[in-house]
Amino acid sequence: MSTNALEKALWQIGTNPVETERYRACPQTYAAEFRLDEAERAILAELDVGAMARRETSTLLLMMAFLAVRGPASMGEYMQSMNRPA
Amino acid sequence: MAEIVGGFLMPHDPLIPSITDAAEPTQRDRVLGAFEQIARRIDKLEADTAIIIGDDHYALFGPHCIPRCLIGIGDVEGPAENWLGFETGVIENNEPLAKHILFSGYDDGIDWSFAKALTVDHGVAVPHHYCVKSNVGLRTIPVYLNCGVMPVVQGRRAQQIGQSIRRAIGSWGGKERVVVFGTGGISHWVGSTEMGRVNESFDRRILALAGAGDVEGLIALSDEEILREGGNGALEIRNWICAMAALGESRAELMLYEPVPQWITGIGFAELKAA
Repeated sequence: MSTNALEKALWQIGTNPVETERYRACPQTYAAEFRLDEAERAILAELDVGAMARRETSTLLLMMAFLAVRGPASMGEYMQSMNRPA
Repeated sequence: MAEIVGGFLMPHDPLIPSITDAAEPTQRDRVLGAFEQIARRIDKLEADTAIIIGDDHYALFGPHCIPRCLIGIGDVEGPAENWLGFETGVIENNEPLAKHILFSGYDDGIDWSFAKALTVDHGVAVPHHYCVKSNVGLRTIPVYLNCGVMPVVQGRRAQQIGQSIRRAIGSWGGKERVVVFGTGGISHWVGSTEMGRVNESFDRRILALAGAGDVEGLIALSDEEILREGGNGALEIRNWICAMAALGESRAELMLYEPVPQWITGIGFAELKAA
């Protein structure tokens, strides 16, 4: 129910290495810390950037958080996820 | 009295320094050459202060607080990103003039936020690296407009901020010689499914408007039109509007245009000249 909360989570993951590591350790637990509905928690935990983009989450944040979690060489993987059909 | 002695429009694309050689060699050399040309021009203008108008990319400022316009009035360092390939270090500010722009802006009704200790991102660091560093003694006042997070700064507001900067410099008792940079790419789609697309016709339309000094034409472009034709990154033309307004009646004399899909951006350089 909240793109704002999704963006809050992604900003923390993308800008703070401690938060990045906490997310990596258990994405489901991390996602549960935010005011998200069940579907939002699921797409955050799966780092489904395409699904989050369709909810109008900032693509600046999506890319930054994805690269923080998966590494700077994961741009191809990011674009695949962005282009995956709903 | 301080005065604005020059102005420039230029990209701040982080891929230029981070994956320099991804571009075609001729394009790469022309882009790097344009930066060098501006650095030399600044030297000839005997400028001592550069106001760099850039924007955050949802990294420095988060969902908890997004300033519409911000000026660094104290310590400045950067860049925040270690992958640019730049050594992180101090960026010397012109604190007295920055504070005067802030207070003068308040008198003008500008809703400035300010930073006492600012770590800049590539929006300021890239122009600083290529155009300021080689000019010994040239100080930098960083200005951030929100062009990255909806709702972004409106074109009209960007113009008003630029006009306020101009008035502030004109009312400052120092003898600074100031150059103003409006930074950012033209068409580019950042992080979306269209990333890598460059819309050359849109880019040339923007450059033509800037070249004619048609700030009203640039302001008339709605968020929706810019997003559709130029992508989310093209909202950075609001930085250009701000710089053009700071110069007063001015037109942008084109130095270089390169569509560089490898750097995911339509890249334009221009020198602002009195109309």
